[in-house]
Amino acid sequence: MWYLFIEIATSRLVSQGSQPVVSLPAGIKQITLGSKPPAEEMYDPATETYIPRPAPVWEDRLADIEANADYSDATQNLNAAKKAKLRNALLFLLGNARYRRQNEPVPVEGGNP
Amino acid sequence: MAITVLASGTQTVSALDTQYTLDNDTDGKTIVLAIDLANMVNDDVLKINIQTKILSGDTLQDAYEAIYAHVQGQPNVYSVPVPANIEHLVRIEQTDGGTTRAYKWALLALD
Amino acid sequence: MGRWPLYGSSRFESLGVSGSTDYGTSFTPGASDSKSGTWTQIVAATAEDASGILVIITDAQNDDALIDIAIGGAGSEKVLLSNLIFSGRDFTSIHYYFPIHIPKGTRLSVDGQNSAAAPTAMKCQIILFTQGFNPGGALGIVDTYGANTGDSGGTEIDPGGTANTKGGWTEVVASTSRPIRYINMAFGFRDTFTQTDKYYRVDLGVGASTAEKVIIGDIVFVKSSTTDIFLPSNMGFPVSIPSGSRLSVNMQSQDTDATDRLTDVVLYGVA
Repeated sequence: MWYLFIEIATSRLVSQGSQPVVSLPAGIKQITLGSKPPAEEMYDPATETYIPRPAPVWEDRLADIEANADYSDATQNLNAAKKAKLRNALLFLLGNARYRRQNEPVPVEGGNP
Repeated sequence: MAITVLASGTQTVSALDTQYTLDNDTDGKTIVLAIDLANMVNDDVLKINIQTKILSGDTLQDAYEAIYAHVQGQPNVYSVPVPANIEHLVRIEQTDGGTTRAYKWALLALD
Repeated sequence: MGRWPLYGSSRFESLGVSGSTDYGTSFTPGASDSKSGTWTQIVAATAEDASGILVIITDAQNDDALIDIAIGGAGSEKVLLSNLIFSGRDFTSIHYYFPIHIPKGTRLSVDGQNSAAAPTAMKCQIILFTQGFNPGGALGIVDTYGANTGDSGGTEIDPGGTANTKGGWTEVVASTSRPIRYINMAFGFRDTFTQTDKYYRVDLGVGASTAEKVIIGDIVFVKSSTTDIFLPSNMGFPVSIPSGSRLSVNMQSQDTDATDRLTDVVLYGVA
């Protein structure tokens, strides 16, 4: 069993654990779950339950580059074959840094200036 | 003043998670437990507990507890001096490892 | 009253590193969250009694791992330090210190498990500290609380979706098996390698649900977008926690991303 302890006024999750509490403090309620929620779920104050954790959203730095004004200006007169070669070179350079999270900066970090 | 031996012996631990009383008395002395841990091997875990009273009407409560695990490099172990002016209870308990370990011990009085 | 120098004559013994180009003893952990079952010797016999051990693990790949340090002869290894969490990114070094007694003549070895399907070799160095007469800091045994061998991580702590607001206490252990006199709190980042620069604050609490008392509070640590790891990876403190205690962790972060904000926590109680 797993127990959630929720602030009644705000639905804020105050505590969670494997043991029930007999005498709850004022303003706190206890919800019993059959088992500890998996890592793929997260507490939702709106429903006072565990809901699926939203999947991470990935952005493609290749798309970031291709949307860059300077890049567009420099490549607009290239033929398809040359654009493909340039794209391959960029993918080689990006390597594992090709995909970023939405709130991760567009420029690849690391290294010394 | 000379150090005296209040009690001594060899305690054989034949079961895990079982407390063995080495001494429980009202000598009113400053006591030091000396115990030989040379027979401990890797995986053995030994708990040594000393209880005392603060006032004469109290129940015994933990004053010191030490845990030793595995082979000991310095097997002759001495507790800190405990001024047990009312009553003392000294116990050992092996919580892990093999059994039938024999622990030689002496309860010394410094005063 | 005169002072008795209990901590005099310190020396250290470096193990697992030899030669100017050596940075630790290589060992290959087990793959896919299973221990390899093969202990790699760090030293055949320590030179002196020690009252403290520093374990240094390094790795050059992105993964989560749990590392064991054992004592005892080949074929008779007994785990001394269990499931030291290692959350690595590209090139990471994590240091763990425990004030425990290790007698002279001890054989030390290392094994581990890794989240990767085909982990490459990791490295281990051990440094033993030996103090003078009656080293007061040496304790007996380390208990691990909250390690998750299913994913080579720890207990997941969610700081919640509101920035800079504690997300609620999460139980790490319902009842400690022994009293704790020194505790080490270690962090992992759950194989998430796209971190951004963010601050965290963490509380360690003792007590039943809804009655948790902070024993170490609002400790600041960070995660970096450059390294993708938490800094520091672990921290140790002297404490006095009775056996049978419930330990839990509460955390806040600047990060509100539902996945990136998560951390793993493992507690190591020294008795």
